[in-house]
Amino acid sequence: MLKRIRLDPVLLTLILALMAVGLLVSFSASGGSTAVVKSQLLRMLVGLAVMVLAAQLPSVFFIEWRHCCLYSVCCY
Amino acid sequence: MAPLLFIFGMLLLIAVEFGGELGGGARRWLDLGVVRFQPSELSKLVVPLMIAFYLAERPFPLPWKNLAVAIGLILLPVALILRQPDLGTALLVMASGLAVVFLAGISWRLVSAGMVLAVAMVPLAWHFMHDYQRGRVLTLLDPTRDPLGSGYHIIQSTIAIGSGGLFGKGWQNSSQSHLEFLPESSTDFIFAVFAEEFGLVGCGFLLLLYLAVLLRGLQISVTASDGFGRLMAGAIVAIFCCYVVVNIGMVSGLLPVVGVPLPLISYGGSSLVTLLLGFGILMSIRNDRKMWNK
Repeated sequence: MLKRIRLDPVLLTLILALMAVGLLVSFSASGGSTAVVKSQLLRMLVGLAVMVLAAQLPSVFFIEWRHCCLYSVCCY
Repeated sequence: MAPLLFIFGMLLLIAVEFGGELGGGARRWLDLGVVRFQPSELSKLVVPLMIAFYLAERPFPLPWKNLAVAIGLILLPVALILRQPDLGTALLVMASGLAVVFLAGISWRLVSAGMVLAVAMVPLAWHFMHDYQRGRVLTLLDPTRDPLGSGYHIIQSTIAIGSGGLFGKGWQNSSQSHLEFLPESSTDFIFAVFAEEFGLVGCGFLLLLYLAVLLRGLQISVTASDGFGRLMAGAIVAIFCCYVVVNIGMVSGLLPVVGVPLPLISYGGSSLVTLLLGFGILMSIRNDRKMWNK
């Protein structure tokens, strides 16, 4: 099932690298507070879930949702 | 779907106007029970989405009528965000919408005329600015005019950046942040902490990462399978660049202080989720191209 998830590996790697930097600096800036890191991590996971869902939609979905249904039937 | 999302975004902004939460002198958030949400962040994505939808199949160069409608669609949310007030987000929303109009194809003569008009409007904009917004502009020109007030942020952040030197003080060794000289060190001013800890070399590496995201986004935009995909991908990349340039510019004292986070690094929910939604759409545009090529 995981193989069917369509993501851009280059963009995903860059995003995760930037997020990792963000977690490191947030931890430092908050004086070593794990609560801040946990909260930031939770937000990142929610954001990543939203990104993965959006990436699965054909871009035509954002123009016309009825067109999207037809497109899904024809192309998948 | 784009018009529905646009209307949804506008309704959220109107909801903030009437039932938003006050914080720091501004009414920008909606309390959803579990989380607080800033609808103006969503506008940064919904506005270019709507403009891309509207302009995707228009002829080149854009007819005046279409251009006027597109500008109207941009100014409506910008006016609502300015009422909160949130000048930084309003400018970013306007920039994201105008980026799509630019990518859709307008003549350079019109672009030049727009820039001249924008410069000519500066005195008028100054007249309508709040006192604290004027203070930010004056502080940009001379941070030492109020070192313990409006100039405090810029002075402390430039001290942090400068004290990082070439290689930085090392992780968790930033004195400006740990001794609590630097305000908002986890959110808008996180770049100053990063610069103090990792120095010029670290900042260069971070900028290279941002540049790589920009180039990948542009590649996806150029190779998109349709006009909508091309415009939308270009707009997402433009928003991302605006975030980086405005945040690093303000932290290093080159631009006025506005509430813009450093993308994917600053602590914050609404902007992070909005930005990742944008990247999801970018990946969706790339996936479509692959599908058409098969």
